[in-house]
Amino acid sequence: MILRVVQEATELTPPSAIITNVQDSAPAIPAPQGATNMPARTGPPDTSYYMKLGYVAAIVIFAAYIGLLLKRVAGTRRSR
Amino acid sequence: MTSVSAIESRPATRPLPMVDWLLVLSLFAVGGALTRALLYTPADAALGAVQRIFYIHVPSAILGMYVACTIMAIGGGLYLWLKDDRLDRIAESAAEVGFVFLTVVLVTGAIWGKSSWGTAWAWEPRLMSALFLWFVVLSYLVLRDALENPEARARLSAVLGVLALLLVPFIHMTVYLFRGLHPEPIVLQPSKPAMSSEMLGTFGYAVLAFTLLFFALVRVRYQWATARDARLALEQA
Repeated sequence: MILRVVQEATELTPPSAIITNVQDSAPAIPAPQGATNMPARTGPPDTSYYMKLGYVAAIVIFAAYIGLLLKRVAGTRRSR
Repeated sequence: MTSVSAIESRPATRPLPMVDWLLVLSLFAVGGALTRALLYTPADAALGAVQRIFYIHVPSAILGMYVACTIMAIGGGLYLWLKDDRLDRIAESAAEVGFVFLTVVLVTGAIWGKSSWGTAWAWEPRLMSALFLWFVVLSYLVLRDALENPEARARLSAVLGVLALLLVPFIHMTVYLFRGLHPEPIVLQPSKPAMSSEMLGTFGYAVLAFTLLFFALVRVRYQWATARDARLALEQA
């Protein structure tokens, strides 16, 4: 009997009466104060400056040595 | 007038080439490796772009520490046995080029450390032992420059070169023996490399390119040393 009443009540409920958007009456929870100073975790850290510095330093060292070596070779060629 | 004995002891030399084809080829290979590392290899998820220093730092360490020191020691050791000046020149050339590669290792490591550890230098075993090897190779080169007698120069520097090689296994083991900042090997670990296949491919290409550059530089340095010794022999005759 009870099941039948519930079933009829459900079938008779118009679609407009169904609550789809629940409104929360509680106040919004404020964001933690400490989080404002923290960077957003959106991916790896931006370390491109150090990458460029490392590549430039290595290229400068190799280029300086190759320049020294070629200078020696040129000096030896001139003296022959 | 040049005596017959002076001519016989003079190193046989070919004219030094204006452009060394192997050096040019190696520079193109290194350029290709660095381009691939910068443009076509993904950045590390944890460290970011600075991890790409890996493609210079580790090949330079392999060549400067393992390869150069081994050639320096074997060349020096064989010189002590055979007294062949060519072996001394090979050891000398490998030491000088290896010193350049070791310098690159220390500088790029410091820059990477500044980004990842927050400090460019730490008094920890791997870094200290690598710096110690750098000083030993530097002392090898300074010793050679200081001694005027060619036989004494070759003999004493050969002993130092052999002793320098003894440091290399110790430096290799520091990351296992001591607790430090420097990570353990990533590629040559017993299980499998902890890298993606793209990173591993770029690393392999970088090792090949820098190996080519290393031997091209040793070749040019050896040719120059041969021409230098020939000129000195001619002047003394």
